[in-house]
Amino acid sequence: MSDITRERTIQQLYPIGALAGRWVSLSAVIIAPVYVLATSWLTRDEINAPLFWVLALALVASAGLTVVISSTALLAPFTAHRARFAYVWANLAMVFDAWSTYGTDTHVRNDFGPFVVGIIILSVAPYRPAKELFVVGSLSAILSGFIAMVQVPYLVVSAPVSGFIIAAVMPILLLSFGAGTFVSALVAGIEGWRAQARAAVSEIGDGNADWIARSVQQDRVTILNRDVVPFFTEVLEESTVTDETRVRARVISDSIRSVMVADVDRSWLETIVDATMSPREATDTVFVIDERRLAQRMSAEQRAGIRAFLVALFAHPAFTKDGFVIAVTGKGDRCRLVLTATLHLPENQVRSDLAPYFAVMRILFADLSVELEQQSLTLMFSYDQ
Amino acid sequence: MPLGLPGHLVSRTVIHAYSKASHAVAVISIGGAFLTVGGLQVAYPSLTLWPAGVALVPIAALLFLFDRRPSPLTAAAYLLIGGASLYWYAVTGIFEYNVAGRSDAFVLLLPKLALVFIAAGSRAGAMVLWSAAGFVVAEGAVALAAISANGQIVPDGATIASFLVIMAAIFLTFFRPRFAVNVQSGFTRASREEQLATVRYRMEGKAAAIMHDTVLGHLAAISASRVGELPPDLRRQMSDDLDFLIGGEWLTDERVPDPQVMPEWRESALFGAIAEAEELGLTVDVSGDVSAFSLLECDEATAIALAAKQCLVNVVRHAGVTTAEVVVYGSDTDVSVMVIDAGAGFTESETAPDRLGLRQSVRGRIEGVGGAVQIWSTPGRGTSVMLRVPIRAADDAEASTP
Repeated sequence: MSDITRERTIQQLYPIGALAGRWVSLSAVIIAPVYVLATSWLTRDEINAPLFWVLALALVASAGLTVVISSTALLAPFTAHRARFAYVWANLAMVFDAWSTYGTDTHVRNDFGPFVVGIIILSVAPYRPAKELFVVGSLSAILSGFIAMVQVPYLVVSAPVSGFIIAAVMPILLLSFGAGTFVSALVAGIEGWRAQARAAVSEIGDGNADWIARSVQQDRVTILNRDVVPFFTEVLEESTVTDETRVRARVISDSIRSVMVADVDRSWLETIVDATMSPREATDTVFVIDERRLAQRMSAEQRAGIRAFLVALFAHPAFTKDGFVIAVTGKGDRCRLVLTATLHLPENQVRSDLAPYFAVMRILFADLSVELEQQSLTLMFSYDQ
Repeated sequence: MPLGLPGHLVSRTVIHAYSKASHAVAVISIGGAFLTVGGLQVAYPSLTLWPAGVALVPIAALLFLFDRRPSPLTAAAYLLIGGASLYWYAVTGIFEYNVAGRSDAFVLLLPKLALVFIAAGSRAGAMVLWSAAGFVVAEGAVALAAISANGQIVPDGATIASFLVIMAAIFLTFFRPRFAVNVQSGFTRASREEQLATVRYRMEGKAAAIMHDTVLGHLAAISASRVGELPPDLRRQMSDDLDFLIGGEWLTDERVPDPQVMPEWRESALFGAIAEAEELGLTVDVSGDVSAFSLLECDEATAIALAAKQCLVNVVRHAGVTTAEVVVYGSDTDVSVMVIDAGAGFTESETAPDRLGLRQSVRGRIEGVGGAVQIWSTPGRGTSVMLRVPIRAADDAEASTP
């Protein structure tokens, strides 16, 4: 499974924002059936085909459920495929609503169909691109206008057809174009910031390069001062090579080489785990298995995501080091990472506490799978080598 | 860089997006009202409805002005002139096209929405107040029109519902749960730490390569020397490198040429590296487009030169020949340096894991600047090492590796 092609959605560019904005989606899908019931009650005399009305209500509920389920963090991203179901259910609900009152409908404004379609489009706004909202809104408005046109002969208000069509399309256009414009402007803002941040990344690097260089150099100079400098000084002063000198050179070389090899062999993940986990209970515990150092093949964005997740995991009060292990393996052009951890908390609690991180990681790793069983958390995902 | 927005930018970005969305709703409402009036005028040519359409023009104009130059002044102007225009629109509508003279008629709803969706202010509270003001002005203007035209003042459920929806939308849009703030700042912090770690990783790679080329090289030379006087070349190099390692800031690398000055070939780091290899007794034939080397930035030029030097040192130490060839190629996107010898050759996979020359001083260095190394070697038939690094201007977008 290849990594996700990033869509211009709030969820993919600002997953935490989309998760926080899930309230908008949930409120919208709660409002929809309530609105249906309220308007249907007020215009109950106009319903001549109750079966179609029931079907319309069921479709409204299906569309809402599709949005609720698809917007959960662990199913991110909310794909076009799933959104399509919500759009289709909502539009079919609009058709059945009109059908249930066909011939007895008195006012277009009383129909719940257009509002429901608009509210469903609004509810997927945090997860879908603006362009899609505009297109679906326009197509739905055309359908709504057509439905209104068919009903015109039975309406009681005296007005031109264009007036009824406008009244029928307005709820959809206002909600979908409002939502689409919001997404478009927010995405543009996020992308603008990311462009600036990208330029700032090199500045952060340049700005800190000097002190990092000094720190790394100091580490190396400390190692050199221990054996190498005294040895070289002595050899230079004496200007001769003896058997003892040769042996000492070999010993020092082996010692430095082994330190350097250990450094070079060290996985990026080990560095992160060491830096973020509180002091180990047992210093010889192996937490990371990454023999081919595949962890560093992740993109900078993916590495930052993993780092943030590990910081949160280690800081979690229920986390214990027992059983914690990360294994990275490679197959073909993909790397696979499996993380296992123990958290002494009920499954739902862990899921809820770490949900925001899963939401982001689902965007970073398309095939992220999260398993929680008997206080054991297992995360699996793959990425391009 | 982290996904998302840093905390201090969230409100500003969301408010801007919310304003744009509200103004889109207002524009569609005005457009809808205009089409409604137009449709009525066409359907009922005997009525004089066109002034209602004209009344929408100032509302649209003020909305445009407010959207382009948002300020309390333009917002107030939008509401005042918009309110007056709406009064004009409503009076015309109610007089001419009397939908039972009710102030809640659909034909009056759309321009009212345009005022309610004003979305002014830079905080959620201010937005609520401006929207409430829009609601009062809109309903007030239509109520006055109803009174003037002897119509009925009827509370408009749709406008009230829209206003309540706006309140809910403002609350839901601007309410950021605590987890969102904490988690987002965690990602932002992790991203910054990762950037610093990447810089440190590169520095460590650079340090390891320098240590390998200097300290380990001299230790190996000492252990391989004959008993007796320290060879003068080795003595000089040891002395120079000791001064360099202890005395200077060698990671910021004072040995590299000025990055502002594109080095001429004889002043280039690669030329110097070849000269140093020749001091070890190797005869190096240089061919190809050496001027291409000047296309490289300082970091890349230094990395490829030091890696090439290590390849030449390997020829001296392991190949068992005294000649090597260096070929320089350039293209629009990268510069390649190939080091070729006809010596002993080797199998890379059989190289001991603790041999850091090829691993760190060649691969580590080149990969550290986004380049790649390819090795062709057959035991007994020589070795060719291709070092390829990108020309930075052609490769700015490439992601860094840790």
